[in-house]
Amino acid sequence: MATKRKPYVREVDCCWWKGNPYYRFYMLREGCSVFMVWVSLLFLLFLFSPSSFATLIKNPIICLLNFAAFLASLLHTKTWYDLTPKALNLPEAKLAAIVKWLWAVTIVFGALVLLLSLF
Amino acid sequence: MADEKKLLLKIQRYNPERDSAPYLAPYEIPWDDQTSFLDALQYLKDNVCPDLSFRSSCRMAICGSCGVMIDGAPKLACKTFVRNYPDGATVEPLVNFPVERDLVVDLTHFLEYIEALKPYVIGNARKPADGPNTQTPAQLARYHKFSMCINCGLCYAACPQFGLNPAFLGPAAITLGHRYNLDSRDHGKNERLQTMNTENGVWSCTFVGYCSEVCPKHADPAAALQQCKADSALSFAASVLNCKKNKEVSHGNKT
Repeated sequence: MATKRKPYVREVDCCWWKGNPYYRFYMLREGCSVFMVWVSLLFLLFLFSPSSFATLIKNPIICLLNFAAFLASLLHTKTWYDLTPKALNLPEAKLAAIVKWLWAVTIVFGALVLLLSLF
Repeated sequence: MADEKKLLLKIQRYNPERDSAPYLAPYEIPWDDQTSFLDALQYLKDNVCPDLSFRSSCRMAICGSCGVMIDGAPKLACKTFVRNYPDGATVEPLVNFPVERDLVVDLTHFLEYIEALKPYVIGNARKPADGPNTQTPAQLARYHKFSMCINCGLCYAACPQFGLNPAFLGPAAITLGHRYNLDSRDHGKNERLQTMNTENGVWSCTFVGYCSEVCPKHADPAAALQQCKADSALSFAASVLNCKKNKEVSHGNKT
């Protein structure tokens, strides 16, 4: 007897992430990388033409873009550190300590870079 | 019966012999605070539509048979209560799997991937006469969380990467493989890594993380995937370091 099976395959459309808040936040998290491309381009400009770089970063639109890139990098750092314990098979107490250390190193390093750039 | 509380459920129906595509059908069900979605489906099958198809068995979140989408989120019907959906709900079959009929999906891919990752102890030559193969609590703790998986498939419905690429081995299969990789009694890690390291293995995961969110047993498949990526990277580094040595051995064999 011929089979009467006719499995129905539901296609995944390109907007699959829009309907679920978890997926939307994932796209936001991954979208932070776009700003990192922007910052990398700025650094390249600084390497090859420091004078144009100095003029460009004074532009208010560029300032806004850089501020958005700063917020994006903060969000990326937060989500990255929150997810770090998943990749480590260690007891809960050790994982909590590792995340605290990551934040401590980030804050100290950030403050150091800020001090060096100001003075 | 007149003062019984009623709730509207929209249930996806699909009869392959009659329908060209699935459609949502509305049903009213009586409910109280203890009514689960599985109870509601069983009520409909017993009293309203005897041809309604769905999978179920244990009714207590152990067998992993009754996975469905409730308002777009993967849930076990037996573990989800109607009281939390006072405005009604939509019940659909698990997404990312082909629909066979009504709420029943084809899990063939999923089962094949579990088999491919060999979730059993490999390479342990102990005999029953050797006595029990004991483990310390610390050795057990390394894999205990991952051994909670009940193969319900909710993580596959939560995984957009599996939806976009059904060849991806997926969260549960890799979690089960990783559970044995971490077991001190097992010696099959290198064998499993050969499958995990492939294009459709661990590296197809982009760490969306929703799989761990929907897991009804808190097996944390996203963690297993990330740990497997670390194992895979180390295995790659080891293979590069050993490459020269292996070449010398193979040349030596040829001559």
